[in-house]
Amino acid sequence: MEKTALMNQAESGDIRTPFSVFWKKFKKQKTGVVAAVFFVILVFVAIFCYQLAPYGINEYDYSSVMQPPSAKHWFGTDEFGRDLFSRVLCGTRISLSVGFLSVTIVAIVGSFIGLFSGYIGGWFDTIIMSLSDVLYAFPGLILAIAIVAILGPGLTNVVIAIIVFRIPIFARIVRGNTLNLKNSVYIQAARSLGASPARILFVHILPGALPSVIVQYSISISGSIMTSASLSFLGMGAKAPTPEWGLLLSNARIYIFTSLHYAMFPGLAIFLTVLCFNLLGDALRSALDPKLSEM
Amino acid sequence: MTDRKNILEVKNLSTYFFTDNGVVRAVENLSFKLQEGSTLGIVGESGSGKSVTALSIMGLFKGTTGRVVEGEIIFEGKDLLKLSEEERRGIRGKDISMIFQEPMTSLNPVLKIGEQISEAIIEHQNVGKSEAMEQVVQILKDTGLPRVESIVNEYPFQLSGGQRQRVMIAIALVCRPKILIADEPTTALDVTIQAQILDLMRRLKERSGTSIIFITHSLGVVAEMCDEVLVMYCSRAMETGNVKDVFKDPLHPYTRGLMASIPKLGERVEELYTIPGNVPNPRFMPKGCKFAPRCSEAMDICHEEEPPFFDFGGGRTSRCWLCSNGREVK
Repeated sequence: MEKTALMNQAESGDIRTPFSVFWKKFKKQKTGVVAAVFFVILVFVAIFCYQLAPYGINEYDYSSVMQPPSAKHWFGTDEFGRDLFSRVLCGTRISLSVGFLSVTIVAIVGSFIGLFSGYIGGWFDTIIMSLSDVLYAFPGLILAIAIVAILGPGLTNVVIAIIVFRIPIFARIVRGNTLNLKNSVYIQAARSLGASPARILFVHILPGALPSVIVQYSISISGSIMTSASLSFLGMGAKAPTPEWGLLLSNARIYIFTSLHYAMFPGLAIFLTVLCFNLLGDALRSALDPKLSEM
Repeated sequence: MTDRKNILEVKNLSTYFFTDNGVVRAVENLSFKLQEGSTLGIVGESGSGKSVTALSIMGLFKGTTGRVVEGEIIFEGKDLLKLSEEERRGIRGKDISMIFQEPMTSLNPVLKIGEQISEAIIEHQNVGKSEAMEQVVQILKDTGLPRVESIVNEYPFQLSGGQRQRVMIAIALVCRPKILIADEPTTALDVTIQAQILDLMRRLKERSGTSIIFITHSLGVVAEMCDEVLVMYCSRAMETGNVKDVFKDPLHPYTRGLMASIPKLGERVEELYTIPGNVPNPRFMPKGCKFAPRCSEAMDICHEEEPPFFDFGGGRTSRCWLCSNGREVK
């Protein structure tokens, strides 16, 4: 299979950069492409939600409460007559922001911890990894609840909670890659040129660990969106009247037998978003896995 | 030849690896001299301590359990083993550089060729990026690579093994080191490419006057490339001397065995000569001479007592009781 790819490349005269190799592999995965398209739509919606929303998110209309979906209100209305479509749309921005913000911070912090831990080794590594094992042993959501319980409810604290309980995941992945790479011949070759430890860490080792970080990043975003929705559902995250998806679900809970649409649409939004990031992560993993590449 | 200056002197070097299963004595009491502008060949079987000798000179034991436990490595009057890690880093790549055995794995797969070559320049010379790139292009041209301008922007996987080894040579030589350690630079390459790489190294050496330590297990390569030779067996030096002398009149039975096992062109034999037996397990080393169990000329004393070096003048030494007519070196 690789042979043909190489031959095609020879014929077309393409220059094969690591990115073009990645893109070729990524394109083969249909679910990944669909997820990527949905991801682009999500980001677009998150950015322009206030322009796209037909109604204001806090536009009360007591003459039409708990309306089922109609041409006027696509997703129906809630107990205060607010347009559910607009609220779910604007919830995208909150969920994606929480997801991206928390996971970006955790990816950077966790990667650095893993990088240093793996490279320095010895007692430093033992301490860091023991600490991360302790954190890892807690079930994620329980730990998040505990942290929010200490810090108090609110979206900021949800972000902090997600960061804390996801650090060990990134630290372990990057540490593993670092341990693997630091004894490779090309690191030794770099050392034989007199490269400084900082250069070896950031120029030689870090890029090698990046593919796994990217995959974990994508998968972690879905996880942290779930966590933030769960915490909001439990009343520990976003506060009303924020149109956070978990909070919407929580409000819809008592109406579930009379007005299914109220619970369904926020639930669907969470489901599709999480699915999108998981599929994207899977596709990235297949495209970036060094074991599947030709090198 | 003898009045040339020694650029590197290794005295009584011992390097051990402290593994969980005990101490592995990879290099034991090794001494040799490298003369300025000459090429020293270190030959030996796999596991005889050749590469560890190279790593000891470079000081590249980070991340392993290896440590130099004894000896001196004197380069330009300084004992490298007494320098700090920071000072050694200043020497690595600038004064002493190394070519590794595996061209396929010695280059970082995610960095462009140009970036990897300029690494040493930026580390050791106070020059800007564009000037470094000029040097990169020049050295790549010197190595005889085609389409140099595009190669600097390519990644290692776009090059063949021979091309990668040329890049490795370029990296090692870009700062014009005084000593180049080549650790089996042609082992992983096919024979025609081997010849080209050897030819290239010889040309570059003539031009720059770099002294070379050439580690190999091929006596043919030694005969072609080296001025002096050091034969290693079981972490020890067995025989040293000028290449011509050693090939004409090998003193140590092990060297003779190695020579006898080279197939000769135009000569048809039923079976190639092999030295009987195997390299002893490092954990169960023979008591006397390490080669005695495999030696056809072994005497009683060989199994009892390890022979010292016997010196025959002009750098010729041999660690064998058969050579006891020479002057004993303590």
